[in-house]
Order: sequence, then C-alpha cells, then structure tokens
Amino acid sequence: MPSWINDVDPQGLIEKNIFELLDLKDAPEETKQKMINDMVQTVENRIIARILDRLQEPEIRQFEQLLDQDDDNAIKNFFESHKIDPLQIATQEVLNYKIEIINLIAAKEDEAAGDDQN
Amino acid sequence: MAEKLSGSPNPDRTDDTTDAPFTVPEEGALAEPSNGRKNQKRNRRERGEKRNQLANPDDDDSDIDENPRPSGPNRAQQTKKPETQIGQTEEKKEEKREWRLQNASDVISTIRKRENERLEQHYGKGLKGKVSRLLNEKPIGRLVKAVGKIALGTIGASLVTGFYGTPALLLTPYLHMRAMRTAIEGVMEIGQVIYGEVSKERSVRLEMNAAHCELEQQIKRYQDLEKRQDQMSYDEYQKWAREIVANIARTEEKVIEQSNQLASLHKAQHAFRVKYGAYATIAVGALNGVSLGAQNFDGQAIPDGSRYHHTLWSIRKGAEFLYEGAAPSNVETMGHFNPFHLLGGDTGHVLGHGLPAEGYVGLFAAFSGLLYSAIKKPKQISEKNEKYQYGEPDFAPPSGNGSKKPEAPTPPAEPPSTPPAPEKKKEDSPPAPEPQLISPEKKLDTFDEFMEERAAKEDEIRDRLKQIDEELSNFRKEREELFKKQDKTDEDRQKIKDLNDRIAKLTKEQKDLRDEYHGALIKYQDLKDMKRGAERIKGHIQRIEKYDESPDRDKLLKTHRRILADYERDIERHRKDIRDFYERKGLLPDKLKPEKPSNTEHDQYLPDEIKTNEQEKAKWLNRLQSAITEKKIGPFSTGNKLGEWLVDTLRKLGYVVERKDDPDTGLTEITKIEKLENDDNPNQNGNGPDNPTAPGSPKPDDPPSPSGPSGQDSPKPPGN
Repeated sequence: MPSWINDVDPQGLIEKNIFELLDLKDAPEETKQKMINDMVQTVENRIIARILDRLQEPEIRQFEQLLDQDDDNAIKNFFESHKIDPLQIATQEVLNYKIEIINLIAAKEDEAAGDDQN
Repeated sequence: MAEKLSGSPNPDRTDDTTDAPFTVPEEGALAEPSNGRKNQKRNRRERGEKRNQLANPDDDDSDIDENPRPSGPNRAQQTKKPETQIGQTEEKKEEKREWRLQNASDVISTIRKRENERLEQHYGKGLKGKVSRLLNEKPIGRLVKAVGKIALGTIGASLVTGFYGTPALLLTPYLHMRAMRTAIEGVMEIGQVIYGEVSKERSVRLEMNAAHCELEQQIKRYQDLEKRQDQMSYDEYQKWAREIVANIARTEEKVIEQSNQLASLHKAQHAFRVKYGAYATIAVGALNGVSLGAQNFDGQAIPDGSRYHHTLWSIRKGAEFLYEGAAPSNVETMGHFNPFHLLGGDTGHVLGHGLPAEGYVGLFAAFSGLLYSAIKKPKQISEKNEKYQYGEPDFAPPSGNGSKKPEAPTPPAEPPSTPPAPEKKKEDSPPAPEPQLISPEKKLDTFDEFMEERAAKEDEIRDRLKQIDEELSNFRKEREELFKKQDKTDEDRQKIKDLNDRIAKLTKEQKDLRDEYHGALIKYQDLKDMKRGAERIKGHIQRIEKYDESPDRDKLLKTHRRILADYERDIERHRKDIRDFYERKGLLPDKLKPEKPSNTEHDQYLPDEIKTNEQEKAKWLNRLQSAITEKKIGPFSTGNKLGEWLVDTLRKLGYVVERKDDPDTGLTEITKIEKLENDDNPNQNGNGPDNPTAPGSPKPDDPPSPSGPSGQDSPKPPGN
C-alpha cells in the first residue's frame, strides 16, 4: 500500500486546501493563482467528460440541443432522467484529483530522492 | 460511442478502477518537471551542495561535509548548531519547497493541457465549450463548480455559496452540508476502492468473468455436439450431452451466485457510506463550521450583499465572520454560548448579537436532514436490495408467458424468442405524427399485446420528444421576441397568450411521454429480459431433469427452481408496476383492468384480522380474483398465510386445486385449478357446486378436504 494512503482522511481532504496538503501554503500568490486556474480547469474537464461519458450518441445530441436552448429546467430534467448528479460527480472528481496530485508529487519526490541517493 | 473519456478512478464504476487513468500523464509527459529537477540538481552540484540533501532535507547532519561535526572535547557543542548551519538548513528547506512548487505547478499544468486536448479531440471543441458554459454561467453549473471548489479547498465554503440575508441562513447550511457529505461519501468510496472491499469485489468479478467464459465454451460444445449427433451412437451422444448439460448448469449456478455476491457487496458498501457519511458530516460540520452565507449580524443596514460578512457556524467557535480572503486572521467570533470557551478555547471578538432564529432553523434543517438520512436511508437501501424472502407469496406470471415454454431443451445461448413483434398491429396504428394513446377500437385482449403495441411506439415517442424540444424552443424564442417589442399590439398580446397555451400543452405532453418512456417502456424491456432469463432457467431445469444423473442433480434442481421462483416474482412485480402506471394514466383498456372483486361476495372467507385491515383485505381479495380469472397461483412458501388461504378458499368456492409441496425448496406449486360443474367436486364439503359462491353456502371454518394427485395437500386453515 502506498505510504500516502495513510494520510487520506476525509476531513483533511475536504477541509485542507491543496496547497496545505502539498505543504505549499506560503507559495507566491501569483503561482498559486495560476495553479488554481489549472486545477479548476482540469476538474471542470473531468466533470464534463464524466457527464458526456454517461450518455449515448443520440443522448449527447439531445443534451447539446438543450444547451443551445438555454433552458435550465430542461437541463435539470435531463440530468435527473439520466440519473446524472453533477454535484456528486464534481465532488468525486475533485477528491480523486486531490489524491492523484498528492500521490503524483509524492511519487516524483520519492523518485528524485532515490536518484539522489544512487 | 466506443471509447469513453473520463479516466480518473470513478467510484460509480468500480470496474474501471483497475484501469490506469488516462488523466495521469504518461511516462515522459511529465518530463518537464523531471528535467527541471535535473537542472536544479546540476545547479546545486555546481554550488557544491551535498547530493542527497533532497533525500534527507530535514536531516541537519546532511551538512557534515561542509560543517564537520565537532569531536572530542567539543562534542557537547554539537547540539547547538552554528548559525551558518541553521541558515543553510533553512535554505535547503526553501529549495525543496521551491522544487516541489515548480514540480506541482508543472504536473498540474501538464495534466490540464493533455486532458483538455483529449476532451476536445474526443467530444469536439464546440460541445466541450457548451458544457463548460453550463458550468460557468448557469445556476446549476455554478453550484457544481462551487461544490468542486469547496472540495478542492481553494476557496472558503461560505465565500463560494454567495447567498445573502435570510435566504442564506435557510439555504446555505443545507448546501454546505450536502457538499461535505458528498465529499465524505466520496472519500469513503475511494477508501473502499483502495482498501480491501474492492479487492474482494475485483476477485468476485474476475471469477464471474471466468465463469461466463466457461459458460460460453460449454454452450459452444453443446451446440457442436448437437450438430455432430449423426456421427455418433445414441449412447455416446447421451453420455456427452449429459456431461455438458451438467457442466452448463453448474457454471450457470456459479454465475448467478457470484452476481448475487456482487450485488450484496455493493449494497453493503452503499449502506455503509450513507450511514457513516452522514454521521461524519454532522460531526465535521458541527466542529469545523457550516456556512451561513453572507450575513449582517452587526446590525448595520447594508443593502448591497457585497458588503455583507460571510459567516460560518460551529459548536467549537459559534458564528464567525469571515472577511474577504477568509484567512484565519480575518475571522471574528460572534457572541455565542461556546462550550469550548469553558475548556480554555479562544474567546474571539464578541460582536454583541446572537444568531437569529432563521439561522437556527437552517442549521436544524441541515442537521436533521442528515440525521434522517443516516437513520433511514441505509434501511431503505437494505430493504430495496434485500434478497427475496419466501415469507410473502408472489405469483407467477399469467399463462401467456408460460405457454411459450420450449418443448425440447434448447441451448441457453438461444433463449426462446420474445413475444412476436406486432407488425400487423403497427400497420393498424394511426398515422398521426403524435403518439396516440391506445385507440379504443383496437382489440387488445392481453397485457402482452397491449405492451407490445406500446413498445412499438418507443421510437415514435423518442422522435416526438425531440420534435417537442424543437417546437418548445421555437415557441419560446418567438415569445421572447414578442416580449421584447416596445409597443405591443393586441394581436401581439393574443399571440403571446396563444404561445403560452401551446407551450403549456407541449410541456404537459412532453412530461407524459417522458413518464411513459422512463416509467413503463424501459421497465417493459427489463420485463422481457427477465422472461428470457426465466425461460433459460426452465430450459436448464428440463435438461437437468432429462440428462443429469450426477449426485448433484437434486441440489442443482433445487437451486434452479429457487432462481426461477425469483424470476417469476420479479416478472409479476414488473407487470403490476407497468399495469398500474397505465391504469393511473387512464390508458389501460377496460378489458385489461383488474376486476375489482365485490367485497361482499368473498370477504366472508377472509380471516378476521384481515377483514379489519382495508389494505390487506383489498390485496387478498384481488389475489383471489386473479386466481379465479387466470386459474393460476404462483409458487409460494409452503404454509404461507395468503397462499394457503387462496387454496382453501378456491376449494370452498368449488374448484379443484392440486398442489405440490417441495420439502427441499420449501415451495408449494399449484399444478391445477379447475372449476367443477357437477356434484363430483371433492372439495365442496357438501356445498352445492351450482352456487358455490352464494353467501352462507360454504362454511369458512370447514376443514379443507384432501385433493390433488400429489396427495401432499393439507392446507392450513386461513389465519394460520
């Protein structure tokens, strides 16, 4: 089991922001802002992918039409009828993303430390 | 769409979890940070730094080369680091942080670019842009993003929700709690995925897949054998057929067992998440804060929401105002009874106003909703998924389905065909573009005929739904144009009124069609699948009965009969649900409506405790009525109160009822229900068959008389 798993506790993952989890609280605001934009964009893309992945081709076309029509209720009904809960998806994706990033950075750090020791 | 995009571990689709997520950059994709790292390493080397400082950045001894540890008499001084050494350690920590920041920034950026490209390639820039706009501009999308940001932790929860005043007090706690709860459930799900639960699931899945493959092979072998029947002797053929059929039956049993196991695993995981997710949310929310939105508790009249303070409430700190940026230093605590203060917690800045009543209402609603969920939902889930208990009798489907039972065993790969497609009926259907509900003159004698007609309209319904969407969109645009007009004429107003009427009509039609599509037609497809499943199991039973001579034969038969009973039970439930749906909508032809038994006709036979319960009374009498009209009672648990009462009452009403009790499965099967028209009726107990239902003629307390060729029948009196 990877070591970072031990750090996964629901409260920490929810309450701490990604910079705290990565111990980068004091990073320059400008860099942090850029990272936030990238992260939000990635999560947004994943939410989009998850929503579209749930739909078959004709349903995607139907969804696209609804988006064009700009009818909030129709979109809401569409989600409901296809059992898509965007809130649930968003939260799952964000948490997955947090874990993934922490894991990736930790792994790279371990790898770098290993290189250095060799 | 063959390929689906989202590749991150998806708790909804646990089978995906073993796949490597596409979102994780492939080897080489993140070369940038690695190269950056190497460059930095080279730079450090140039500066003469020690090689392994990154491996042990916090280890002060790593500077031993540059700052040799004192020895001998100076040894005591080693605990006190020279100022230069402390400075260098700090420098290294700083460097490590810088490296991590650079690395994280690169990784995050690379992932974004790659995934963005992939998404645009796969779904097209246009579609991606449209959904993206939904997330950024529409209320529902903004909420999704807000939840995402809360969970990402990059923005304080109260700042994201952005509700003001009293609505905030009522709404935001609920939203915040919901988000947190989803998050906690999500983490638990991830936890389940990572830890043992899912490895268990994965192994069940693997076993199931293996069993499926084995089943396919066995079926192929059986088909080959059938083809080569002429090339071998009858004995040889029998020998092989017996072996293959026994194997098929065993593998089928394995598959069913494993799919049950999988279902119960999912059920347990879900119930766990719902229950403990809710408790955890309550605890986390109460301790760390629930958003109350933007509030103005300090009493100043500030009409503009932008100047309100954002507020959090928690047991530990009471209500807190979070000023812009939500940094901990920007938090003020309101006057509030705070148990933690008594334990020495911070008093905070008291603003002199308590939490208004609306605030407590909102909080109460949020907490009580979660508590309800924690207590009730797991129970509902477990009830919903509960494996069939044989305490309640259920009834096999009407004879229409059973009549299609194949005479000779057929390979399971080719299940009996579905009820014939109603091509003839389709020709009869009206050519109107809108899907018309059943035309009254049409002859639809059976439920299956009726449903086939409805199912044949499925495409039509889908097309009509699309058409309605288009029409609605056009009407709305037209109406908007009219609304925008500065000087509206009477004609315009009339047009708007007409458009409103048409929109209302279309919306109603849309709702009805959606209801039917999702509520009944999809269910009907499931029903047909179940029928096929039941037929397949019947085929297996026939094959086992005919060929299997292994010691496991009885066990296999028993298992298969139980599975068949499960199928039939489900089929009957689906039929009832679908029938109820059409009846509620007023679309069921009169002929197909269940006859309502007259309560005065048969209720004299009811046990006393049922007579006083209107709901149960109606249920029992309806069952009796369908047993009379369909001459069929489904298998029920031997000794079941309702089942035994039906048998007993039918006999009292002058029917010959034959039953077969199977002590192995604990089920009673009714093999015959026949009305006798003369005095030979052995079940009559002396009551005249000419008027078996006449009130008073049968005595409810009469002991049932034996009947049936099985000789096993000894129905218990009603009420037992």
